[in-house]
Amino acid sequence: MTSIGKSLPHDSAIGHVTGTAAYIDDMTPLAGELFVDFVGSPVAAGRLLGINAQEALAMAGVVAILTHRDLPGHERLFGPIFRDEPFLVEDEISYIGQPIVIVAAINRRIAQTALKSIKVECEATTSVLQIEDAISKGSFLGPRRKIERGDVETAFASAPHVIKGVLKTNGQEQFYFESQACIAIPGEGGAMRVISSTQNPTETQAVVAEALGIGLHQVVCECKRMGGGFGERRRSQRSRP
Amino acid sequence: MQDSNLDRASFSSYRNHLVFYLNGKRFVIKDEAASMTLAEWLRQCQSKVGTKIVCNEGDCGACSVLLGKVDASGSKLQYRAIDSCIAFLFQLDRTHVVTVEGLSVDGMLSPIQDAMVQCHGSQCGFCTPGFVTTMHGMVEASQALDDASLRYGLSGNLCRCTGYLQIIQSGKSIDSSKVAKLSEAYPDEPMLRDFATVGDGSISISTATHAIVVPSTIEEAARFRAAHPEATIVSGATDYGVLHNHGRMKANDLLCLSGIQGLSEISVKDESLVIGALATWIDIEQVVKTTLPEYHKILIRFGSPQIRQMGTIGGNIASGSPIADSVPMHMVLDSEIELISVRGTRRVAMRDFYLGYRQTAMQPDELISSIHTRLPKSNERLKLYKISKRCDMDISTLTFAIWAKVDGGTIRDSRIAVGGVGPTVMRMKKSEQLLIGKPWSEETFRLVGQIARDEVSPWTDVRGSAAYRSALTENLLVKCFHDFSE
Repeated sequence: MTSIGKSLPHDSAIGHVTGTAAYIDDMTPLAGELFVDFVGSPVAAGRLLGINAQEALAMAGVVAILTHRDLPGHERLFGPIFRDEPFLVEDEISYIGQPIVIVAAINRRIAQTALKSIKVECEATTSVLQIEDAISKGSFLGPRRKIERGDVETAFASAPHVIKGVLKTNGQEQFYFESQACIAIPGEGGAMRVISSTQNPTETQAVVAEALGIGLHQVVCECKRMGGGFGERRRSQRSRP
Repeated sequence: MQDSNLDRASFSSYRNHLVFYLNGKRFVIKDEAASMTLAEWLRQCQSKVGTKIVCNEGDCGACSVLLGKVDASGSKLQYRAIDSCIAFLFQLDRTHVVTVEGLSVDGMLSPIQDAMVQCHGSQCGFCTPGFVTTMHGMVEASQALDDASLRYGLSGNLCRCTGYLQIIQSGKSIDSSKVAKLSEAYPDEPMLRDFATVGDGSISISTATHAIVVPSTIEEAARFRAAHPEATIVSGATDYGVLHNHGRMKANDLLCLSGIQGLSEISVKDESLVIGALATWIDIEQVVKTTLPEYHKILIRFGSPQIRQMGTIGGNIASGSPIADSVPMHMVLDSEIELISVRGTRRVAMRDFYLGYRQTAMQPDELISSIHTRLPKSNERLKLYKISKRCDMDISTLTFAIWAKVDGGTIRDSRIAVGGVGPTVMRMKKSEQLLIGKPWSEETFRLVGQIARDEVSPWTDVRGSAAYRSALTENLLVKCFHDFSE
């Protein structure tokens, strides 16, 4: 127990200060590695009407263009606790940037050129952005849930003091320095090795297996280090940054 | 291959390649790579992945590297931290770039790297290479590693794990005299000799889609500008780099001014401040510290040290942004801009320079050569303000400048300029007139403040609402009275 009572340097400190600690995008590219990016929804709420990727498909260096129809697994939805989010938009769009089309190309530049050429036709509906609007429109994520114990009404009615108030915060999701990144390496018999900057390798393993329709034992998820996370990488990542 | 518009014949005598060093190794670039950002080239072409790209617009400092340029005396390389994500290879001719990988020689940590390890200066580690290189840059610039100096010197580096206290503690624990200068690991002499052999002549590089011309004299630059008025002009590239990385620049011919000698001088003579168009903000900041402290106060909050190392006054003025931080002061001090072209030179008053949103009085063949400013006399007062959400390294919500000539308690003359309240930085003619002849009192400024808020017609955007900007305009007039009285 030589470390007790001592402030020891971070395990990776020497790697950090010399720039040798490798994050996902620092890893030496594998032979044949493809760069994958996606087209996100241009609207915050609406329906997906059509996708035209003809131009992108014809581009030299574009290897694959995938939509929800190409997902081999039988699971269409995923989520950390409640499965309520489609892997890729099928019909309803619920946030701006929601992934619709996946592009794989031989390099980043071609992938980005291909993304720009893909036309996603959407019907925009009114987005519900404020909590008050959501309540008045009954627009909830999943069923309404209450945390109650005992006879709440009677307890309040007989309480000597009842304090009411409204609390509003301008809370935002935090961001971290290293962009979301992942390397997926197909293996034998349909197996997949995923190297991801995730705080939840277990869930990533499960979600990848479900999306691909393979067994958990066929997916290995590794995360050596992350450039920050703060809890935001605790669930499966599929959107930028 | 698409042919560029460049008239190759007249510029064919130019050198067709760049020469620079990376961590002591020589590179010659004569193709497409010349238009890559330094950070991209380091990571994609040289596997120097210690340099991180995070914001990709010069806001976070994770991509900081040390750029060694031949100093004014020509006898040594002067190293300073820059943001490599918005620096381009075409700006690097005859320089030496040192990345985080080049700081530990023979596997030994530098005292700065060691301090960051011992004082727990890294958490997730993604910002750490940037902090380490920036601190090395501070030592190269002979800046003290004390609390105040570190807070200034590291203002261009973000740490998202908020380990600032440990990082500053790391810096404070370093004995600067024990930090080897880069010239020990990378002797200046052989590189300087090589640079002299290469020569400081103009450069022209053709890529598949465009030409990049880096002239060595202002005359050459003017000649190219006259022949190719459509070419994009770049000097420090701190604005161009951001637009480029956002995919908002088309592959145009480029006229890069960074190779021009003799256009970065700053002089204070006969109560007049003359700044060459290519003077960088870091150099201007040093000169105005004593001669124009109000300006200094704004400049140390302008971008970050890394940005100010590259950004030039000519670029800031020519870009024509309504929130360009340098413009309000030059507006109220009635500066003149000297323009040069193959037809000769002329001067335009700052007040006549901006015609509309990012539109200036420059003709298609003209370049800015210098900015001339008369320094305020003892009976002339000057106050400048920059309002932004963050103190350091933020884009201004509103900029404000006031100059007043006061005799015996009466305002004899005044000029007010406000940025961020219209398509250009605007002079407040009505409010200025109202101040003239009035007593120097709070009442005067309160009254004029109420008029001033209606003289501006601001818009609402992410940095503030129109109502907020109007209120700021009024309040700053009152605030300046109290600040003047201090």
